[in-house]
Amino acid sequence: MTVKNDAVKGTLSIMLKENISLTQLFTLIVNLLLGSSIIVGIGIDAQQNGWIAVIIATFLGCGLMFFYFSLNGLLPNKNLYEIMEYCFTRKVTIVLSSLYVMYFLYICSRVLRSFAEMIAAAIMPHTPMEVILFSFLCLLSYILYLGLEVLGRISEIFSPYIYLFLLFLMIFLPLSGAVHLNNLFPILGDGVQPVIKAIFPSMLVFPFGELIVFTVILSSLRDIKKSWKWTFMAVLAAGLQLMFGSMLLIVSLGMDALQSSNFPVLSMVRLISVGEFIERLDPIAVFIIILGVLIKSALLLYCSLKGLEYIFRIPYRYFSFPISILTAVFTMFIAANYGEHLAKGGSAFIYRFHLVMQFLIPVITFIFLMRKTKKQKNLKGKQNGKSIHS
Amino acid sequence: MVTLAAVLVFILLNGVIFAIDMTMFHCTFLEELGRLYYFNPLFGRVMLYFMILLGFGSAVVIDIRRKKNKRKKHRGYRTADK
Repeated sequence: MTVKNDAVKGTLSIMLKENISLTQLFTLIVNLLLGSSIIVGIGIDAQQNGWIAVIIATFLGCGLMFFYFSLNGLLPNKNLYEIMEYCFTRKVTIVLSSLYVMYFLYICSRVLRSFAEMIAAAIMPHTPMEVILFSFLCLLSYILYLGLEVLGRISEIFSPYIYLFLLFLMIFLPLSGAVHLNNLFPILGDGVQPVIKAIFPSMLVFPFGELIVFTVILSSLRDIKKSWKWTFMAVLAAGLQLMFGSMLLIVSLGMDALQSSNFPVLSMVRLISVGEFIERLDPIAVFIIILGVLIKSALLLYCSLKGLEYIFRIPYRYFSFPISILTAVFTMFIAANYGEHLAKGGSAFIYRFHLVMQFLIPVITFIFLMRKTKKQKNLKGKQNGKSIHS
Repeated sequence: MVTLAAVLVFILLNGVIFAIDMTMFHCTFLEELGRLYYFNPLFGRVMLYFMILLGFGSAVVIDIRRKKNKRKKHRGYRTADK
């Protein structure tokens, strides 16, 4: 018996609870939302009104974050998988967790594919994508092996560079004469319909629906109730950055070039030329993109590893290397080329998949959780009443 | 257990990719299988197969090491009890 207890204690010591600070949470949220949205650009379907679509989607994203936050707030210190176990049985939760593992890994593969395509097309054209992915995922697996705290610190240290980069763009693009404010007009020329079409469901599921990963991560906060302000500020800050980014893309590239460009941010940065001295700033853009992708893919991988930890009852660190390497393989398998990758991203099947995982399952869980917590409160009230009478 | 997890992930991700491709391109299961796992040594495919092997190999090694550590711990506890 003592041997068994000690063995359990040994396992628990590896499954130590990790804590992240509020600033780390802030930067993680910002990086998750910016992540691959910077590479492919968002709101392009709404034409020159993309920035309006981003503003509306940001407020909807805040609402979504509020929902995920209240889901975690009802059972503090428990992640999505543990909450589902509380609501349903372990067997049902294992099935649902497997679905989430699959979902998180699939999104992670999509994010990594966009990144690898960009690197292979723009920075290292002679290097095979497999090599880029293999080295990147080795790094990711090492970060995840070290834990969420290390990921939080990385995000905290590198995030200021994103703001600096945005500042650079806002200063150097007008100086280069690349800004044409006329590109923003006519505002809502075709009515509100294109904006609404761009938001539902494409912008709601990507990137704001991906905030579902924080239902796994919010349990790592020391005091969840104090963190709500930071969480909403982070979503708003990321939304503002996306809006500025979207506006800059429209005014600098124009809609025709924006729609035909595979990597709009890189095309925009290449326009910078101040006094024929400050130019070719693509490496800075690539650095920012790498940072965003690193944090986003690490968060998605972390959530899937946590799911595996729940299913197999083994500390997630053991899974980090094999699962990361398999993710690299599936990043290549998800599409034959970049065109197919983009087409699949906009397919109805993927939207349905997103909607089920981001909205349907969490809503059902929330309803069950509300009912259970109410029942328990009533029971406690009755028990207290009995003890007072006796 | 880690190997089992790797197999589970492999099956699940294959499942998603197959489902998406079969609905989008209206192809059969076998066609999709051939498309996904064709072997072309000159097209970077060798690297992919190497990565699959590395993933599963590392999972097996981790499992063996976990078992060894468990045995060591049990032996340690037994001698301590004596």
